Amino acid sequence: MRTDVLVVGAGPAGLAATVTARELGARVTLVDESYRLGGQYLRRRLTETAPPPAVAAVHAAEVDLALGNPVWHIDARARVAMVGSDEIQYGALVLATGAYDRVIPVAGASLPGVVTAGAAQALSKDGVCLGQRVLIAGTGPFALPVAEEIIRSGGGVAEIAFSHWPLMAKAGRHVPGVIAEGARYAAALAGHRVPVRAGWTLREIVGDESGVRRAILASGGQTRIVECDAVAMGYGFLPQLALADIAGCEMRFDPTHRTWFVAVDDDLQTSVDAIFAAGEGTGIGGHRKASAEGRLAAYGAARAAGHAAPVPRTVLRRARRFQQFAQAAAPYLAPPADPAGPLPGALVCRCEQVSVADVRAAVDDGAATVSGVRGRTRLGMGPCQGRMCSQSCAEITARVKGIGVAEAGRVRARTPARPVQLGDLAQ
Amino acid sequence: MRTVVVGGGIIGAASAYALARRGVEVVVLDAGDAPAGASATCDGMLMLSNKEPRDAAKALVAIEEWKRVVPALGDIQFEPLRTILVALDEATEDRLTERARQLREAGMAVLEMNGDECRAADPGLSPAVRYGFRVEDSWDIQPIVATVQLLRAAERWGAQVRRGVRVHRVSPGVVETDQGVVTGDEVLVALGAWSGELMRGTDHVVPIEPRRGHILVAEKRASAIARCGALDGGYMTAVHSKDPGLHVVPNIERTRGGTVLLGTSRERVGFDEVPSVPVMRKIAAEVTRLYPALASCRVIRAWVGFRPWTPDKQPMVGRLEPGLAIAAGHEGEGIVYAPFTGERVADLLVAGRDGPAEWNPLRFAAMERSER
Repeated sequence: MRTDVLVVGAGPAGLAATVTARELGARVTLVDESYRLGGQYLRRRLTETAPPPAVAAVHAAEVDLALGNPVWHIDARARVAMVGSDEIQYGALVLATGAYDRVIPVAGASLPGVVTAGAAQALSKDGVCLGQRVLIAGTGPFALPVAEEIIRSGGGVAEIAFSHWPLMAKAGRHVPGVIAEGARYAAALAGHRVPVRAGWTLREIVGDESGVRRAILASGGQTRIVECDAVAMGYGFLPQLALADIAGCEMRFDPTHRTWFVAVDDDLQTSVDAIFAAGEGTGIGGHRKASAEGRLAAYGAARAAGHAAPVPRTVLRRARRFQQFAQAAAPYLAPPADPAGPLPGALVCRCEQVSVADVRAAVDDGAATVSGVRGRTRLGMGPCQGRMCSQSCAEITARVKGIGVAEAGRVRARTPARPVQLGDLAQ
Repeated sequence: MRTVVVGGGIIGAASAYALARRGVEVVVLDAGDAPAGASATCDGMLMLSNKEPRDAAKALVAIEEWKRVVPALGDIQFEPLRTILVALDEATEDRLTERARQLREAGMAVLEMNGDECRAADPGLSPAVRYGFRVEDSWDIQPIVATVQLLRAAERWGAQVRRGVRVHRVSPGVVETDQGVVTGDEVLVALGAWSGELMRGTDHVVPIEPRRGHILVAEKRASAIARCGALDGGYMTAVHSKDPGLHVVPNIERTRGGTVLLGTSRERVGFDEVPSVPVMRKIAAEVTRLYPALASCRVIRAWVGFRPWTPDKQPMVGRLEPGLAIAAGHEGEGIVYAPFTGERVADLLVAGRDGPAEWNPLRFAAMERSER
């Protein structure tokens, strides 16, 4: 199969890139591992049948959709993406693969009833009631829509515990929509009498096989107990970098988020020819930044695929404004530095059952990087490929060694980006 | 006496351990902060059925050497290996039957099976499997853990392990690194596939080249299908082929964690670290030919590694000149021969006793001279 512009990811960035590239005359193929367009942000409730406008626009455009299967490999030299047993030849590629919840090592996090904030939102939208006293712990304003969704599903929220206040009003002053959105959520939660506190970070969850009983939060040297029956954890977001890694794209370290993003130029081109990136992968900034970047990336991708058109000033300006907003908001989205560190028994890597103490022991044994710890402990070698644990491992390693998180390095994702069936591979 | 070991892979680690135990002052220099070469990318099988008859006696001793060191290493996942060497066609069956006879004569406990017996042992095997054998006393280890533990054991005997040190040049008794010069009475080069590169530009003929291999990791569900694991009898031909092009022979190995490792590929393409999709496809096709039900299992990871290849498939273990020795070039046999190699290195450097003649590192220089 051949296409001019291949867009990977059908969230706000990918949807905008798809529609824009099509408008510029390119043949466009949009791939997503989910059968439904929209990604996490535009995920619909079970009761909602009408697609949101951004999704409807893609359905109305004449584009090819390849849904329900993840891209597991990109061969940048041959300009080919592998999806299941299929190969898609592209002229230009837009990576709009989004982000996932950032978790911190917390004792008891594998108890039933402990989920990520993103999972809590998705489950609630699907009609699952997580609990009557859900603790939402994390950083950033994402806790607000999660709380709203839990309440809408018939559940209740025991507390929103922020590590620090997400003072988005300051960062969002010049950006339309941000303040109004925040005010709307705040009013809704006040109506439900949801207690909101800041300065507290999740340290331990207590319960048994029947579920969560309580959570212990820490603030400096103090601790405090919250009675709860479920926990939703989301300490910001980490970009989904596996495909960019496999394609050979260079990364940049963001000192505020203390993690890596795809390096892009002003046109959102990555270090690899004909590969562009848009949305959370270039910097955490929410759905507005994502769709603005998706539109901008489409111009570059269409040009690389032979459909050149001048970039309208409005498209460029809008993307810049939201990129600046993302930078200004970063301190409020970033996870806590937590100098006290997590409890030794807390698991860092759940796939291979590697604890904080195991990571510390590996560092004591001479490991100075994530890959050094990985070699000694099997951390990150399970099915999730280190998506959940590499960041925590880098932070612990850096703390123990007294070095920066960037120096603790990162493990480049290797093919396959997502599990692929041997039968598909064999074809 | 003081020996500087260049390379902290399994050969360097086993040599350091053997030397330190015999009272030698040992310094190990390693570029990384963890094993990273072939020791960190291989499957860790201590297999006997795939050995050449000429190497059978050595391989049996090598297993005994492993059993001797294992108690000092903690849990390196040392467990019996039940992999069956199988034949799917008549020609391979004939070759394997002959091989089984030779290995039995050499003293190995060979268990032969017809096709049905193979499937009784491992029901996931293809109906096309017509013959197979395995050799008792084959084992499996976790090679990364084993390497780290061998180094730790060496440290307990007084060895010093220096990490993050890059070696630029070696000469008798002298190692030049990015952090200054390290000296000793003896220098041992144990850089695996990188040994040839290090020795280029010296007077020594060290024709060690990387021979790339891929490993695919199948999800845990696969271990319910491949209960023993199997290696295709075409293996021997591929290992000994002089052709630098791609050879794929299916090998299926269970790990203790439940995931299943799928190999093997061999190709001499330099140090290309990017996994090749065509090679992965070929491995998948070959592996599902052996275990058809694996087709529904998912591959969760894949990586490449570099075997230290020599033109005659025997390693180079011994002295290159006074003050400079080498232990490298084991191709796919570095894990099984690691403690054995360590002991031979110690025999040589401490007692002046030579190892196996076919491992003599000066043979390639002699060959080159006679060709001239």
